[in-house]
Amino acid sequence: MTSRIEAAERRWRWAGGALHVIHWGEETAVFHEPSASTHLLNTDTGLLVSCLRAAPGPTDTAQLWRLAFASEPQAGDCQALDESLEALVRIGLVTSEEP
Amino acid sequence: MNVGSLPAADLTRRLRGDGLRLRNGPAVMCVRSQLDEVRDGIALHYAGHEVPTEDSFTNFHISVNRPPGLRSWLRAQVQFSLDGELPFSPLPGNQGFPLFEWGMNWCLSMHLHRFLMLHAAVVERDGRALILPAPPGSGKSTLCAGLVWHGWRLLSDELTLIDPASGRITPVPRPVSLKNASIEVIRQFAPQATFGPVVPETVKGSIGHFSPPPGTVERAHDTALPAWVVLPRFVAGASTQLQPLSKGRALMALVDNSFNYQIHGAGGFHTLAALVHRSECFEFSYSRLEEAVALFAELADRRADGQAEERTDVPREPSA
Repeated sequence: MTSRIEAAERRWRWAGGALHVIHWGEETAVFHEPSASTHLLNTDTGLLVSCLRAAPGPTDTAQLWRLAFASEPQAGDCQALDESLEALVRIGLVTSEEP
Repeated sequence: MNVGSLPAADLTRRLRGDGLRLRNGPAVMCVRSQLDEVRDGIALHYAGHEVPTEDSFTNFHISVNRPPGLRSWLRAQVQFSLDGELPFSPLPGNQGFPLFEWGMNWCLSMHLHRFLMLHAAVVERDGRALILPAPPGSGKSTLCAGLVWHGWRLLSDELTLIDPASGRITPVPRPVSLKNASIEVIRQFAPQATFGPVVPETVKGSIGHFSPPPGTVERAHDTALPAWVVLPRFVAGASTQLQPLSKGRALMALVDNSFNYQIHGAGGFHTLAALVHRSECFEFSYSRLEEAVALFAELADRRADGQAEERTDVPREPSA
C-alpha cells in the first residue's frame, strides 16, 4: 500500500547529470545528458531547475519558492509550484521524495 | 565525367554489371539495376551528376531489381537492396524509379551520421540557406519546388545535412519528388521543369520527379549558412501568412524533424541551438504558390539589405 505524500511535505531534488542550458528571452532550452532529452521551459520553470541544481540537497516547496522568488509564498503559491515541479518530475529533470 | 557524358550503352552496361558509381552530395553510391525504368530515370534526372572512378570509396552498394523466383513472374515486383540486405518489402513492378529514390533517401538518412540530418527541404540564395522542416503532406516539397525555379538554389528537397563543426549545410541536389496535385501545380508554375513519368498508385499516391534545375548539381560543393527556419503548412484557401516563431519553439521543431539528433547528444543540441540563434524563424501558411514565392524573395532581399551575417553569441550556461 502506498501512502500519498502531501504536497506541502514533498521535497524536491535535481535529478543529476550534466545539463546544457540556453536562454532566449522568456524561453529556456535544456539538454539533459543522462536522459539525452531536450526540453523547452518557461522562465519560472527554468528558474526552478536552476535553484534545484544549486541547492545542496532536497528542498521543500516553500523553501524553493523563497530561493526562486526571494519572497514568502502566499496561499496557493506552493500548490502552483508543485504543479510545475510535478511536470519536471515527469520529464526526468527532478525527483521528489518524502522528508 | 558525369552521367550525361556516358553513352547509353555504357550506362546500361554499368548498371547491369559491376555497378554505376554515382555521387550524391557527400556520398558515393554504387548502383546496380536490370530495370529499364531505373536506367531511364537516372539518364534523365542525374545527367549532371558526377560518375566517380571505380576505385573511389563507395558509401553504399545498392540495387533495384525484380525479386528472384516464380513470384516475380506471377505479379511483377521490384525490391531494393543495400549491401545485399533487403530493408523494405517489395513494391509493385512499375515503381522501380520511386523505389530507387526512396531507397537512396533511406541510405543517406540512416547512415551519414557525420552530419546532423533534418527531414527538411533546404534552398539557398546569396549564400544563405532557408530550411523548411515539416512532416509529409505539409506542402514542403511544393514550396521548395516553386522556390528553386524562382531565384533559389536547390540544396535538397528532403534532407538538410548540417556540418556540426561549421554549422554549414552541405547540398544533396537530386530529383525533386512531388505527389498528386502538386505535380500539375509545378508543371504549370515551372513549365521549364523536366519531369519524368508519373507513377500512379504508390503508397504515397501518384509520384512524379523533376530534374534538379540547371546549375544546381554543378554547385553541389557550395555549402551555405542557415539564415531562416520556416515551418510551412499548406492550407487550402488560406491567405499567405508568415508569423514569427520563437527560437525555443523553432529549436524543438528541428529536434522533432531530425533523423539522428540522439546520436549527436549534447553536440547536436548546441548545433541546432546555434542554427536557430543565427536564423530568423517563422511559421508559414499558404495556398497560393505565386504569393509564397514573392514573399520569400522579399524576405531574402530584406536580409541582404541589413541583417548581420554572423551571430554566434548563443546565450548558454555552463553545463557542469
